[in-house]
Amino acid sequence: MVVFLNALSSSMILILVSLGLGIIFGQMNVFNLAHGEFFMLGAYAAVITGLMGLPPIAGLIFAPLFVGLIGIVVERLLIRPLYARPMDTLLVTWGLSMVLKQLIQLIFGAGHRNADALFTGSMNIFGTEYPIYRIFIIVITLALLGIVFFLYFRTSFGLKMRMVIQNRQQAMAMGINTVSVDRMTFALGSALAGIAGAIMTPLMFISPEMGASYLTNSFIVVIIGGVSSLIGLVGGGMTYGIAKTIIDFVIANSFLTNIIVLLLAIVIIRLKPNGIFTRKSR
Amino acid sequence: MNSNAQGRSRALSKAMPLLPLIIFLILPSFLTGFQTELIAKFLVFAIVGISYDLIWGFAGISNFGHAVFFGLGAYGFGLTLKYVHIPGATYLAFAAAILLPLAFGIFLSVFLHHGKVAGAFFAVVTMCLCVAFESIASAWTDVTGGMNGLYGFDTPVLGIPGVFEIELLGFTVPYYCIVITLAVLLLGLWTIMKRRNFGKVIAALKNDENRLAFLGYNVNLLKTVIFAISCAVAGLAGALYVPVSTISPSVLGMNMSIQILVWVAVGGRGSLWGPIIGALLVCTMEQLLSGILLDFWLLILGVFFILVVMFWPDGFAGLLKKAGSMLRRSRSTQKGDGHHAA
Repeated sequence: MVVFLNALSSSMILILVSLGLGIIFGQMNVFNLAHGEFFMLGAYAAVITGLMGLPPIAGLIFAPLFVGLIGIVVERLLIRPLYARPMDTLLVTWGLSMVLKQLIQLIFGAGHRNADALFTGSMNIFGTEYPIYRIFIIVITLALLGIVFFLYFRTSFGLKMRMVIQNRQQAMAMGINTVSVDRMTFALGSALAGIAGAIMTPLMFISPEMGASYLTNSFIVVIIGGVSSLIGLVGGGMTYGIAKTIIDFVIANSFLTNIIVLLLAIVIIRLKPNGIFTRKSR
Repeated sequence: MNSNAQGRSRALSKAMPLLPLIIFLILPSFLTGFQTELIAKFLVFAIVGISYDLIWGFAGISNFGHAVFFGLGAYGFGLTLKYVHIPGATYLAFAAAILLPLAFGIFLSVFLHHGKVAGAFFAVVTMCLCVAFESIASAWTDVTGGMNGLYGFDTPVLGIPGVFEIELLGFTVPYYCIVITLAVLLLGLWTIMKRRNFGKVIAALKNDENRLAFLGYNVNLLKTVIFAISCAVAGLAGALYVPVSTISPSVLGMNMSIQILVWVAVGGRGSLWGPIIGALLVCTMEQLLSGILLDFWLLILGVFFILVVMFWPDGFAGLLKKAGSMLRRSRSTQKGDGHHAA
C-alpha cells in the first residue's frame, strides 16, 4: 500500500513537471533544457517566502507566479529570437540552466536547505499510516491537472493553444496571435514546474542541483507519453512513475534502477517514436 | 598585375594553415613545462572538439552526450593496458580505444537513426545515455574503479618493443609531438574530405535531409558513417587523454559533454579551425579566470555561451572568416577593378 502511494505521489509530481515540458514542446517544438531549473526556482521561491516569515501556502502561490514571470522573460529574450533555429534553442536553454544554477548557487550557496511542510504528521489510509503531506501532493496535483485540462479543453485560450499545436500556419491565417499564445504557453509550462518545485520542498533536499534529475525524467515521460496529447502525457507519466517505483523496489540499488529505467526508455523511444499513447503520428 | 597579386594571396592563403602548426611547434620553447602540458591537454580537447564538429557542425546531428565516446576511448585504453600484458600492448590499447566507441557509435546510430529518432529526440536520448554511462562508470567499481578512477594499468609504451621505446606516461616531448601530428593529420583529412563528393554529401545532410533522400542517397547510412568517424576520433582523443589525466567517470559525463559542446559552439561549428580555437580559447580562459573568479567563472561561461549561440552562431572562426573576407574585398576594390561584382 505504501509502495503504491509512494509511486502515485512521485508519479504525480513528475506528471506535473512533464506536463509543463510537454505543452511547451508540443506547442513550440522547443525542449526547454532549463525546465529542471524552473522546478528548482519554484522550490527556492518557496524558500524565500519561508525566509520572509510567510506561511508555506504563500510559497505555493508565489512560486508559480514567480517562475511563470521568469518564463515570460526567457521566452521573450531567448526563445523567440531563435524561432527559426529550433536546435539552437536547445543550446540556449542549456546555457540558461547553467546560468540559473550558478546564480542560485551564488545567492544561496551550494549547500542543502530545508523547508517547512504545509501539513505534518500522518493519517490513516486504508489501514496504513501514511504521511499527510504525500496525500496532499496527490490531491493538489490532481487539482492542478484538473485546472490545466479545464484550461486546455474548455477555455478560449486553450482553444487557441490547440489550434496552434494542430496547425500553426492555419491558426495565424485565422488571426490568432501565435506569439502571445507561445509566450503564455511557455509561462504556463514554467509555472507548472515552479509550483511542482514548491510542492516538493518539504520532501527534498533543496539545492541548485535538484532540478537535474527531474529534467531527464520528464524528458523521457514526454517522449514516451507522446507529444500531441495531454492525456497521453499523463498516461506516460503514470506508466513511467509506476515502472520506476516497481523497479526500484525490486532492485534495491538506486544506481542500477536509474540505468535500467533509462535504457528501457531509450528502447521504447526507438520502438515507438511517437509515444506509447498517441494514436496518430505527428 | 592583378594575377600577380592574386597568385601571391593564393600562395599566402595556402601557407596560412601551416602557420599555427609552426607556432605550436616553437611555442614550448617560450612557455614553462606546466603551460606546455596544458596546451597539450587543450589540443587533445581540440581533437575531441573536431570529432564533435564532424557530426554537429558538419552533418547537423545534435548529440548531447559526446563525452561517452571520449570516455569509452579513455577507459578502453586503460582497461586494455591493465589486463593485456604483452609487448606492443599499447598499440592494442589504441586500437581498443578507437574500436570500443566506434562499435557503440555505430550501434547507437543504427538503432536510433533507423528508428527515425532524430533531431531533438536524438539529442535528448544521447543526453540520457551520457547520464547513464556516468552512473555505470561510477557504480561498476570492479571494472572501472568507480569514482576513484581507473588505476594500475601498465605504462603506455610506443615504438618497437625491444628496439626502442617511447613512454607515454605523463607529459613528455614525444607526447606533445604525437598530439600535434594527430591534430594536423585530422585537419588535413577533413580538408580533403570536404572537397570530395563525400564531404559535400555530408554537408548536405545538415542542409536538407529530405532532399538528399529524394536524390536517392541513403541518409541513414551516411549518418552512421560520419557518426562512426566521429566516434573513432573521439576515442582516439580519449586514449591521448590518459597520459595527462586520470580516467574517472567524469570523463564520460554530462560536464564533459557540455564542455565539448561549448568549445565547438564558441570556436565555430562547421568550420575547420573552430573546435581548435574554441577549445584553446575556452580552456585558457578557464585556466586564467577560474583561479580568480571561482564561482563566477561558470556564470560568465554560461552567459557567454548564450550570447555566442544567439548572436555569433558561427563562433570565433566565423568572425575571423568575416573579417578575412572584408579585408579581401577592401583590398580588391582598392586595386580598382571596376569589373568586380560587389
